[in-house]
Amino acid sequence: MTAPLAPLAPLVGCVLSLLFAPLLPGIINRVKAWVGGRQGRPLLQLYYDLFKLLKKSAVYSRHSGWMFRLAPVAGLAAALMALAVLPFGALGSLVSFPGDFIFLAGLFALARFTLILAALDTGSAFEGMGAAREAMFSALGEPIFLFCLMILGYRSGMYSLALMLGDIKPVVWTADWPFFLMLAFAFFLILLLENCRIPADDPNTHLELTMIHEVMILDHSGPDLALLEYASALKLWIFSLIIAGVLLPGPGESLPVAGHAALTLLIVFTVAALVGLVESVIARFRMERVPQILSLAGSFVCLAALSLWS
Amino acid sequence: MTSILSTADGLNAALGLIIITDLALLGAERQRLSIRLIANQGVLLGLVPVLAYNGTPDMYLIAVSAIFLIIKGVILPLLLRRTHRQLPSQQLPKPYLGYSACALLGIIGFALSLWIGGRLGIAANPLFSQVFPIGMATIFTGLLLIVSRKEVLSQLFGYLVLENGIFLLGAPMAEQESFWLELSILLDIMVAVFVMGIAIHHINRAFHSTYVDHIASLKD
Repeated sequence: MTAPLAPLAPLVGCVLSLLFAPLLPGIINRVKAWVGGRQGRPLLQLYYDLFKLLKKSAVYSRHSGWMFRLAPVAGLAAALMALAVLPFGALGSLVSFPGDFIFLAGLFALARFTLILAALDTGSAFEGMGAAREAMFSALGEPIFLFCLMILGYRSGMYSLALMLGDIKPVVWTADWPFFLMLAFAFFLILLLENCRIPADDPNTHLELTMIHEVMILDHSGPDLALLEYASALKLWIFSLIIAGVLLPGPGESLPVAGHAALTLLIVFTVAALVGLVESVIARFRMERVPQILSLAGSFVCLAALSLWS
Repeated sequence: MTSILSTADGLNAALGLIIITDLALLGAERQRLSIRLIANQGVLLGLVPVLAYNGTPDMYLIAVSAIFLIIKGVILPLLLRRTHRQLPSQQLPKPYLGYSACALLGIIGFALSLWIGGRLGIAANPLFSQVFPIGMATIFTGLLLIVSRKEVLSQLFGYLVLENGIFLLGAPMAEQESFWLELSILLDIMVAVFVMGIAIHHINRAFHSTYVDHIASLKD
């Protein structure tokens, strides 16, 4: 990127994220359909759904209050803020400050908190059950997510996401590649859990006994549902972007910034394809076994941390 | 990126995968998965002598490593699989210690091994310092499997993993001639697994179960 356009680079990254985020669920569905020998839904299905929902009007229950209406907006606002602090490869981030990784985790917690309150606001026992499950699994997942980011910061010596993820020196990456690989795997497991993908949750199910996330958005409709779906796609994008940041060392002499951004995009799409593959070959876990995914993620983070020691 | 393909990094990758299989074994609930993990660990251990060798390995080293790999990665898992198939399908009893707790203890064991390895000082053979934490952690994993599981076959897995750890500690120190010693021990282990497979079959016939709690009820 030439020098006069450099300040616009983070903006370009954000625009790319906003444009391509709804593509990820499409990629996942297409991979699942391909493995299953089906044609599957169109790649751009979520875009069509979002436009369709935005044209409709929302229906609100007489028993729901303002919290029910706030949750979709708060969820999307949190996702947009998270995009602002997260670097898109070497393009950098719009906002960056030391300790912003805690801010990122806080934004996810805020979005989850409002969604849980909205689910409880409906007064439905069914949604309350989903909210309780979401709260329990996120309480287990958040410390591991924070631990992942903390040891990444410890390794890089900097505690700003733009430097932790967007500027890993190729020499550092080559010297400690097992650390970064193990961390990427841990992030991948957290992605599966946080984005309610198989084996933690099934986004396609509408069976009462097994739902976590989907049950909480059952009562939302029209533009509200569109905002929630878009925020979910952005969250999936954000986690994939984190994995791309860990897996891809920063740009060097051989790799210009534009090439680095293109590679980042490719890794993000590959992560989505991997999610699709995982969903095709693994069955959904029983609810009581979901924390085992987190144990596995925690084990890999601990191993990554120990690899720095050795 | 070329350094990823170097022998030293290959050894690091193999050691990393061995510790991952250790933790997976501690967290594995199903015996078929455990057998698969033991096979994977056996293949990795078979590669360690070649990867640890400084320079281009000769045909002798490659042949001996291939024997290790075949015994640890193919024959022993096949014997275990045969024993597993002979046993009637049964729900495994809950171990004395939960699977996640075992995995956590495995990590603590690895951290402890790293700490001990750091305090040992500079070894005459630098490879030993590299392999020691993984070897110790594998031994610890084997011990943990033996003491935490209630089923005889699962305890046999622990016995094999324990032996894998001992093999790993010996691998960097092994001169070409001393590989024969390792090989003879390995053959003993193979016979032991074979005999234990038969013993487990007989235990199952006598007690209609392979739980160690049932065997403890045996009286004069």
